[in-house]
Amino acid sequence: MDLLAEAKKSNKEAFYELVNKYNHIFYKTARVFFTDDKDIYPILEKSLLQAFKDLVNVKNEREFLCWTLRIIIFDCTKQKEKFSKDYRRKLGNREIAFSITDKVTISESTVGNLEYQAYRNSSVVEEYITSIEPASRIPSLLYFYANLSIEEISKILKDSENEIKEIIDKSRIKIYEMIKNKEVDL
Amino acid sequence: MDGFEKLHNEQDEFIKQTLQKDKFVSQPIFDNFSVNMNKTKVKVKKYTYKQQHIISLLLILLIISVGLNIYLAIVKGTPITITNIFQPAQDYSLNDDILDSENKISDNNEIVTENIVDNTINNNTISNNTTLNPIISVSNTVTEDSSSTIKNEVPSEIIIVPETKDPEPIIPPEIDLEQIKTFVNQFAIGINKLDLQDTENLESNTILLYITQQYFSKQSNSSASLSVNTDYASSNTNFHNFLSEFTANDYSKVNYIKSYNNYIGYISRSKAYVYGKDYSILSKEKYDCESVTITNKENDVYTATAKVSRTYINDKKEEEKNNYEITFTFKVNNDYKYQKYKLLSLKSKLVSGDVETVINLVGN
Repeated sequence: MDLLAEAKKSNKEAFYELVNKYNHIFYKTARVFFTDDKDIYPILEKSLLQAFKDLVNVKNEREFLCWTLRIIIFDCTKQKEKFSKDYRRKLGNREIAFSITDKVTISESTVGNLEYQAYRNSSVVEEYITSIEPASRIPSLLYFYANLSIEEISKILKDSENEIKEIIDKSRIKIYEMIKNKEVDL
Repeated sequence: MDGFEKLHNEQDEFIKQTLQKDKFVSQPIFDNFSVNMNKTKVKVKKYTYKQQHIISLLLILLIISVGLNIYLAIVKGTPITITNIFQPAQDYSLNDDILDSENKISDNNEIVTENIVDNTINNNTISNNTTLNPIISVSNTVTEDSSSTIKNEVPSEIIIVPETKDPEPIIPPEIDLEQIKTFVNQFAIGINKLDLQDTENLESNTILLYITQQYFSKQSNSSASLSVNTDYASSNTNFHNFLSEFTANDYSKVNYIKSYNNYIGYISRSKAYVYGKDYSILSKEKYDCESVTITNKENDVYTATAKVSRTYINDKKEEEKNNYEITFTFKVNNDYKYQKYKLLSLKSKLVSGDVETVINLVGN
């Protein structure tokens, strides 16, 4: 059964199955922005609903994946900016990579450690991705984890292909070394 | 593929294989999403973004065009009407008179009856000539003898016919004297210059072309139509058609009419007649027909006389005036586009006492 064709007929079950095929990619992408599922859930729900409405614009599953990721990244960025403003007030304009939940009490010196700790216990991908600089995380995730091409990533992020390529080249070295070192450690 | 690229590809594959093993996902998020989605009434859109943009653009264009139409209809007023371009002008005057739009026979037109009184010694003759449709021609002859008594002697063989009143002048229904006046004003500039029989006469041709250009200019300026009327363009075709109606000559097969180019000439490239450097000299002459009389009609040819005054502005900006009596013949065109009347001949005579000031045209 062509899931996309069925989903385009407003078949919600077909759409849900389609989402399940790629839900790990969607989730990991949102996790780059937010560590708490409580923050991720409303954004993912809104983004996926929007993706469902926009199904008429996509021609195949690959386009669906790129289109949905684009919506997720856009919504997460907007929400993160809103969060960042709130926390910037508390931290005195220091930039933070992702939001911290209200439950955690933060101090200026421990922010970096808390960020790292929040990811370390979740997944391998997140462990490596959070080790590289924030600006490289999304392009690297899309390239290495979602297996998208440079061209597709540049269309999603609206950056030039050369910039994306440069980011990937830098990230590749770091991530490769991290994985190799970990294997050595093991 | 060079060494670096190969190395990068190998590293990429290695990283991808490592990372893509991680399929960890917070499943409750997606389960909740599934439940909530089933509760919503959201549906897939019908049109793509491109189609939506095109529809929006078309709607905007439609609104703009409707708005423009409403603006033109309301603000500009009544709809545009195209005037009858084939209706000839009523006023051919060179004096920029307002065109008479009505074209009807005046009720008060009269054929002037001339009373010629010729006083000779011992012989007074009064003759009363009614020129059109004469009913009774009465000739009364009164003789005066030296005894200063007037005797009316009637020869016995003559039947006395009671004296009748002069018949009312009959005005041909197709002739409007006011139109004839404007017709005279149109060609009056040809006094002492026009030679309708000689089509090679450069001065005569120049005058004919000038008359045509003046007519076309007036028609173009007075037209109420908003669009340019090409019937009054200075093309050779339009000029020749006009002159074929205006005179008895046929110019339809003529390539162009030779004239004095310094007044008005022909440009073969554009097939049009244009004013020359000296044309303004012609516009210094103004003519005004004061009265016109139809004296004869024979085989559709009318003979008429007219009194015309000429005003000329000399180099000192002074007005020089003189008066002419002209005799001309004309016909009525049955089927015409420009000219109702066709000029057949023209003779002019300076009124006694006036000085001739008409200067003939010279080409250079």
